[in-house]
Amino acid sequence: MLSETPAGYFLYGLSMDENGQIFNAGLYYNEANIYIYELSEGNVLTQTRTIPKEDAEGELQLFSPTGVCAVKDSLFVAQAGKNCLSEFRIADGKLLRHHGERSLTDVGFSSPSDLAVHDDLMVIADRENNAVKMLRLPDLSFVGKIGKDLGERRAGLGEVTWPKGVDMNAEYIVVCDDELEKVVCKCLSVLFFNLLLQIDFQSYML
Amino acid sequence: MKVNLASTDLSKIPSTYWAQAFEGIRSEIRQRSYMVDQALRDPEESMDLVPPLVAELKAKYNALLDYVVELEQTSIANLAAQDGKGVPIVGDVQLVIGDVDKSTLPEGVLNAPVGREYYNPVCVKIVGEDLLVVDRENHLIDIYGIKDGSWKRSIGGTADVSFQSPTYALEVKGKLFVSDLNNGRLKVIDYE
Repeated sequence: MLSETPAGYFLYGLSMDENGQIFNAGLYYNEANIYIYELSEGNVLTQTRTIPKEDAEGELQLFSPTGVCAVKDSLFVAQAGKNCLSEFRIADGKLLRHHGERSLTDVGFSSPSDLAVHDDLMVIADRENNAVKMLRLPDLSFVGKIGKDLGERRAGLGEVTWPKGVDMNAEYIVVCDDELEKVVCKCLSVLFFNLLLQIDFQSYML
Repeated sequence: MKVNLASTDLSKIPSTYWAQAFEGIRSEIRQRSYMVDQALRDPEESMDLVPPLVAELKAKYNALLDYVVELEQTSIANLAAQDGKGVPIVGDVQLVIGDVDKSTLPEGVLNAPVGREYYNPVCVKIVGEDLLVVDRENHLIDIYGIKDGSWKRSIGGTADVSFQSPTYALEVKGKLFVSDLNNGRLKVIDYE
């Protein structure tokens, strides 16, 4: 063991930004914080600041945040309690936007639990919608999903039933899935149709 | 290079490619307008409504089909290694980690049995060629080879490193950060 923080909240999602700041979602019943740490010489974890549950005006901005992902100057937070994805500015912790709301639709969420980003694509474990959603940054437009029918717990290789964790790189999407009382971690290949965006459609139709 | 739909053997194309591809196209259409969505369902009759868009969409279908056919002859790895941008299509499941009935798995899908009951695993992470699974209530982090599903080792449950309901792991430059929920601590260990 190299280092550990003092005991505190129940801790969930982790991410690190380009400057080496570590973000950790913490919650305890009705309380929630995003803790921000730096790992200094000697592997000492030092908490530098937090993004609190409420903003300066007392507005609730965090409710059961479980997944965090730093992307350039922003921190994206999957909020299982608020059923949305939230973006905060890392520099000052200011809330920039909430994206989505609770709904059984491609653009809505129901207890989003985890998220990951590769390049300009984001995958989200939309747990209670029984799907993994894929969005494109920076506008968070819907690209596609794994899981045929939202809200339906279907078994099968091409389905996800209760996705809790997700990650992605250039080759794979991996999903930690509770599949009808049996838990499996699936690894799905990802194909990038790179050339589609570069096709001149008129000239292609010879 | 227009693809002749009638002469292409569509059965050779995995259905999951199509489902995802068309879902992406439908999503794009929905964003443009409901009318165009209708046009796609019946392009021939709706050509007079939105001719330019319909023409583009028909071309896109053909371009997509052509590309999928090409994919069948192309290494997935090589394709994915291009620049990572473009329209992502989620392919078939490659690996299932967990104790499942192997007879239900299609040919070619790897299975890595765990040898114990998973107990609320909540996090998966890709670390190079490794796949980490955080098995929360077994207080362990399992490491598998992502290419072949081979079990490599588990972290936790020793005098040196132990967890109480770990929920998340993050590897950065040889260090593994772990959210250790019931200890209320963020731990840092060496990831070798």
